[in-house]
Amino acid sequence: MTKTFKTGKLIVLACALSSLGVLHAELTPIKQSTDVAQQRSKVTGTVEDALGSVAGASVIIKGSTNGVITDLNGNFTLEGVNKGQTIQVSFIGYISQEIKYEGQSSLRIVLVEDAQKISEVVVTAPIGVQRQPKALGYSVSAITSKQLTESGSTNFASAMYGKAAGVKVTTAPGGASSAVNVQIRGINSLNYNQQPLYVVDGVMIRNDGQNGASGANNNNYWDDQRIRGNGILDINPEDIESLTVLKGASATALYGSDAASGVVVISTKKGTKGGGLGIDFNYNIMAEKVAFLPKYQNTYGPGYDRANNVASGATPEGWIADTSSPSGYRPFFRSYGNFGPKMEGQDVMWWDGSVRSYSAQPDNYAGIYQTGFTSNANLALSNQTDKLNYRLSYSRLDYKGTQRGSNSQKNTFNLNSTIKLADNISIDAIASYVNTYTENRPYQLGQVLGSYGGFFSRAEDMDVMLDKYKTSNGYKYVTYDHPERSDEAFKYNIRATNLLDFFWQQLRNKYEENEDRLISSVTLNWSILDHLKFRGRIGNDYTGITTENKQFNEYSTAFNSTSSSTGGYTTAKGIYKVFYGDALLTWDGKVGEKLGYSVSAGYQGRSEEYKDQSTSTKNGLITENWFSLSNSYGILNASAKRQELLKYAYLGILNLSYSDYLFLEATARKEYSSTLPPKNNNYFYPSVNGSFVFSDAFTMPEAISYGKVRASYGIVGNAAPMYVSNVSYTQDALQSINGSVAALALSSSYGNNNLKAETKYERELGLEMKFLEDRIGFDISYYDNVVKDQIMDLSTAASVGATSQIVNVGEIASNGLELALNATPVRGTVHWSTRFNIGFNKSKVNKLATGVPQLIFYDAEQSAIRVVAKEGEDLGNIYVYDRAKNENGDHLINDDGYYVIDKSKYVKVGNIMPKATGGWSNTIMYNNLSLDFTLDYRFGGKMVSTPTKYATGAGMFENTMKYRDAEHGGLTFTDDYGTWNDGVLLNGVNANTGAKNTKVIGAADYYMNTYGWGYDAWNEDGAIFDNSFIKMREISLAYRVPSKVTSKLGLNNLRVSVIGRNLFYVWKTLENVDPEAPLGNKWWSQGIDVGSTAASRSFGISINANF
Amino acid sequence: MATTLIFGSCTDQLEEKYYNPEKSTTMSIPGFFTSALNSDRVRPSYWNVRTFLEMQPGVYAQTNYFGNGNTAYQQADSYCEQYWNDFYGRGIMSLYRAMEVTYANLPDADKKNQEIFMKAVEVVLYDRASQMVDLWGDIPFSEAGSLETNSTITNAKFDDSAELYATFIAGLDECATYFASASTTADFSKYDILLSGNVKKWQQYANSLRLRLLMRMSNANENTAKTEVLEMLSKPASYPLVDGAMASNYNPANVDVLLFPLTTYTDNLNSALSELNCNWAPDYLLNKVMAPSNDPRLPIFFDNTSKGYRAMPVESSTSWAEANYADYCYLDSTTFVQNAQMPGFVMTSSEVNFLKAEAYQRWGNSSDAKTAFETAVKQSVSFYYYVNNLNSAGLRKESKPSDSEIEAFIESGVSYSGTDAQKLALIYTQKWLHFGLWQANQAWAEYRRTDVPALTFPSEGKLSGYTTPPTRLIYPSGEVSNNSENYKIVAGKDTRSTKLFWDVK
Repeated sequence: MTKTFKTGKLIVLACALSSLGVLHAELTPIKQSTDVAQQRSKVTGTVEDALGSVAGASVIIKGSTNGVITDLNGNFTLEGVNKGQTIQVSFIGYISQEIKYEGQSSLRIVLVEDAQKISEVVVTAPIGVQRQPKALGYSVSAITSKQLTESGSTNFASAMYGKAAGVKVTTAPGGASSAVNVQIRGINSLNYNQQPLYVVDGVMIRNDGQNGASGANNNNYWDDQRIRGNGILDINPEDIESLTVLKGASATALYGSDAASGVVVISTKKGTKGGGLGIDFNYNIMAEKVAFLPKYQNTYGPGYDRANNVASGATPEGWIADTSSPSGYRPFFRSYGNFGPKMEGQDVMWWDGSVRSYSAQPDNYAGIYQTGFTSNANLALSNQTDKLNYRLSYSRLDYKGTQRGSNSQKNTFNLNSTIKLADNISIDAIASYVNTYTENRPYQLGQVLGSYGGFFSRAEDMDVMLDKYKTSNGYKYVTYDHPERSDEAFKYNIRATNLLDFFWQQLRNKYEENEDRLISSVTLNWSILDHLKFRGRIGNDYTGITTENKQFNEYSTAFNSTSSSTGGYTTAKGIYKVFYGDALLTWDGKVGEKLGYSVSAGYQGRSEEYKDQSTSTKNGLITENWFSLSNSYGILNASAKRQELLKYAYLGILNLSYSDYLFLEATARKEYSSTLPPKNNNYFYPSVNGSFVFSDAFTMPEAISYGKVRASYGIVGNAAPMYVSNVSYTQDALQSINGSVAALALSSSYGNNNLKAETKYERELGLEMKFLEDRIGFDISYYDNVVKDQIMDLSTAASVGATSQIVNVGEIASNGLELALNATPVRGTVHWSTRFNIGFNKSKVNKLATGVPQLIFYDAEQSAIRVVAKEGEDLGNIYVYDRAKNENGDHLINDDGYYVIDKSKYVKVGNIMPKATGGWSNTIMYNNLSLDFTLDYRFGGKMVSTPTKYATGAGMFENTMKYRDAEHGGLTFTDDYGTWNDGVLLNGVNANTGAKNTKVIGAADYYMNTYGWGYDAWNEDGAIFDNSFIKMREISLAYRVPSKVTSKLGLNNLRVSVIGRNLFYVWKTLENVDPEAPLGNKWWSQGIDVGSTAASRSFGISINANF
Repeated sequence: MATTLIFGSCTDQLEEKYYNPEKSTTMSIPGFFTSALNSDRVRPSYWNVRTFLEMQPGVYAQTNYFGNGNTAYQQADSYCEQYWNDFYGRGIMSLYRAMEVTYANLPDADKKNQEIFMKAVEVVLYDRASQMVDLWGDIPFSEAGSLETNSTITNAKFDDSAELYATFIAGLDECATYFASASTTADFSKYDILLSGNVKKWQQYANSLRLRLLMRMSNANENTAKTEVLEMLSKPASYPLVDGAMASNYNPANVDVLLFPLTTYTDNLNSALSELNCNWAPDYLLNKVMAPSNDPRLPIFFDNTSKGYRAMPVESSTSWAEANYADYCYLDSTTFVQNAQMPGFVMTSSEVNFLKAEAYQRWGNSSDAKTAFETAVKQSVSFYYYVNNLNSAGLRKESKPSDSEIEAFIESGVSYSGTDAQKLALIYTQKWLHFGLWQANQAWAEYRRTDVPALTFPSEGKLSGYTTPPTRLIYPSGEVSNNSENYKIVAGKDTRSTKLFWDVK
């Protein structure tokens, strides 16, 4: 046994490098000595922000060293000011303000937070080393606490929409318990690790590692239908002090393998701001309603084309003769098409046995949902003494989603403390405990919207469906063919049983998750010598989750078949652990006056462990509705799964600085990962970056207040997920006629003992400039990268022996441009600041391994729609079978009058990736009022939505009114059943004769055949849509109660806001599906709609107070 | 403050954690063999019946009721793909390759012990592969399974279906010859969950399968089929068959090749059948074949109604069927719908005797044909009463009618008389009945080969291009996309109206 590193105990001692407060002071140098050479005036004043007084802000006379810091109440007294001098007020994260002193006796200065102005934001550089922003040679985006919390988002990620260039956020519909996906700089990995790494207070936390390689909710019609969450939902936005997005390879190189898709670095709030005991209270309450629903037609009810109606036993129009119905006819309830008779309020016998009016139900889709509510309260205590500073907070989130039956509650306790043991030793101890209860996690509606079995007609009254999904004695609805089970059995066969199943699942059955999560870390900072510092940290992210699924009996056990019952009970437990540790030793010093350097060496390690166990009843419950494993009809199903990984690395950093305007950083990392085959399980990668603040080096024109260029080059390795490269077999003990026999099954995905880590090489150039005393600024970055040896679970023809294999599939390359602009166009009584960003990205396949002709990411409709990439092509291209044409370009029409689809070749019809994404945020302040709003947008790219095609084929949408009568362009023609005005004559030539097509078809025939399931449909028109939009993401209008009032209430500050999220689209191209419908955490899933739940908008009130 | 960082950061721990602790990395021929036998595509399992048999071959051969919807004859692509993948991906084709590789790496001494597994799996492979051919035509075979063979993706060509049949027929002959002199081993008896190591039965199975394939191709290549079949039938000692020694009252458990459910299996086909109303009696089978002949299997095939044994006409509209279904028969619960003990029918004596009857009728004398035919029908009666009586759920079981009652049915109900064509039609119809939904692949193949029975398929109101049943399945999209180069060569034949090589009538 050769040990390359000794298992052991590193005694980590403590030191006091810095608390955050100390750093603030370092970064904004303030000398408090007062020059009293001349007799000057004394100025007093207060510094405030939207929340109230700002303590610790620096107030300085421009061009001098004369300055002070505001006290706890934001007050300051500055002596020795001359008339005509400029007083500069600044605070980290805020736009600096300058006031000309003309003898005012007191000043009130309102500071405005500014996220994009990163030169004033502390950046937590790789593995927790704090660095001065101007020293960074790569692009970062910072988002402030205010931006994360102002509109009442329940998690930080969905508050990031449009706020950082090159960062694309997508929230799975389903509300607070649904995953939020973040994509930084396009596609960095084809198959795995597509989400950024999240580092909270220096510890890598679990996001969705427990889901392994397959992730959650990726194009799944069959498996788990619940919309899953991810680990980042547990980080409470109210507890976040700052959030920094690291994008490029050089920025992320030191974080290791998991950082290939970027890093989101989060620091939680500390007890610094006020000093003394401070109490903060925030509360927001929001209502949520489904929105942006498809445009349905409300004229025609259920029925098919005439021939099919007749073959189904109906009249050509779609009525079924029924003597029990008042009109003598009843609607064709089984039809998924909506080409039946016009809904004109006729009294008819309904499927539930009652007489109802045959009328349009315009809001029946919305009726599936309910109004949701979010209530989120946060109470924080903080204090600071010489030896100790802490912040303790408690948050309570109550959430009721728009999906009926689903709700969740979350309790979060957060403690962040710094203990100063000695002058040179301090300890940061941070713990966060999160308890989440989730009941009936939202369901995706793939089996309702993506299957004809869920299609409810335009005449369907949702109240009836909601009434009938279960019988009066609590059993599942009874279809017409089981009248023996209940006298509430449906009178007729109906179509949308999948919808009733959905209601049964969400309203009768009970699925509960109880999750406890503890994220903790202890960091020791020790200044061993003047120039030698040591930092050591251990962190732990522990999750215990218990899941119970109670499925009620669907019918009385009296009607059980001989060897099974209904209902069921599952109990599952998961324990997920991430154990993290790092140690870093740094020597820094100076050579001469100008050259500064620091050298660090460190170690970083992480182990992850995921254990899941599940036991469930089999073949139903033997006694009705008693939920216990001892009530299983058959032999219990039990399964257990263990997954473990270990990753560790040695790293080194070299930093050089010259004269505080030229900076260079070089890093190196040697990484080991247990997830790769032993012969390839370690890899090395370096990075280098530099920055040059030319505005400090040279004298600049007056207008230019800051200028910096930066450049970086970095390499990041990326390992495979656990176990995917194993060539291994599943053993099963079969209880056979010969007794217990071991059977060895193959995996559907074949392993690969030669798998290598993928490696990303990225270079980046950037320019930051500010003008006119920082009133206008921009930050622009260009990057390009190649990722070699891309690891992918390559889908294969089953005939090669598995349906996929994990391989190093080739090389992809991306490039992009990111631009952030900020400006303060108006200053004074009315203050307006604005921030705009845009990110462009493009990724393509450079090379594919031999034997891999193309990569297929998505394949649907009998391969008629695919997202594939060949060598040299862009990632995300959509290909379809197109309509066949002759050499003159005429469409070929078959003898039945429909388009002939050419299945011999594919035609490219677009790409699922957006060309540009970004956002525009604004803050407008006037006296005590402030208005914040953020728009975000996406331009270019398409969405594939097959459910939309099915619904078009079923005549559900308003746009299917076309051709249905003379008014809507229908032709008059005669068929076997009479003369009609809904004729469609497709423009083209007969495929057999070449003569102009003369075959007129009915509108219903046209839609049902042209937009049906499968490859005979015109898929491009039915299922591929442009997806661009501009959305009003957030609005917050806040009113700060004047201090006169608040002081009487014993409050320091009180702010009341009206807030709204996802309010409306300023513009969008999609008509019948929401731009954000897609689910799943893979890059391509984000361009594919498989029928999710409805999108929503929320609005509410927020109160922030501090004592 | 002191704390510890505990990481077992050593290379051996990296290696330890590389492998999934829940999986095995040891290749084992017996383990693979059992997996190959243990197929829910062979047993009457929910998924296969619900998504494959009763939606595709069962509709196209009318062995089950089907709703008269506008897509009734359109194959369900993803379900068919799953069937395809269950043969290749993790199925017997790949398992066979894994066994070949394991076998090749064995020391010579061990090869001798393991040879019996290799021969047995070959028989089963030919059985399942021939069914794949019958469904799709040309299929990847000779080059399939490159991942198991050498861990690389090398796409396989589609082998010609007629040549594959020839390969299977020759291979089965070799296997049968091997089993004629082989003796079982303790391991083989244990891991052989199909025939419990009975080499005689393996020999019979191989010969019977060979007979099935020869008769299947007999219209396309009559000379070869005739020569080979007559050779087999003339030397019963050299070519023992699964024929129950021509005994009418035979015990299927001892004779037939049946894949029994696992002893832990407690499910049944109730949901699989009732979800698509396939528990309703099929028209032709009941109305045209069984009811008019007063078939003795009626009481164990169907639940009677007050109006007698009758099934809904196949052309009934769906809404009419939904309103009137209660007046028509259901499939029998004891025998089929709620019979957890029902085995997978791999090879039955009845089928073998129907095959013999056809061979004698075409190439021998009619009286041998008559004997074989009557034996086959009687064996089918015995067989289904046996299946009925397997039910252990406490449902009412039926006892088999007396020999004289059955004899009366043979005389009057299925009298072997008329022209040669009528006699053959009788054989084909009764064989189709015997296969039923449970062997719908065979029923559909024989229906396509013989065009018997004279089924009618309603075509009104169907989607354009899907007005009739197909004559083969189109290739699943996963294979088409990922094996595109080889697919191009067979793309021209990939239509739903292309006929199989043996479908020449």
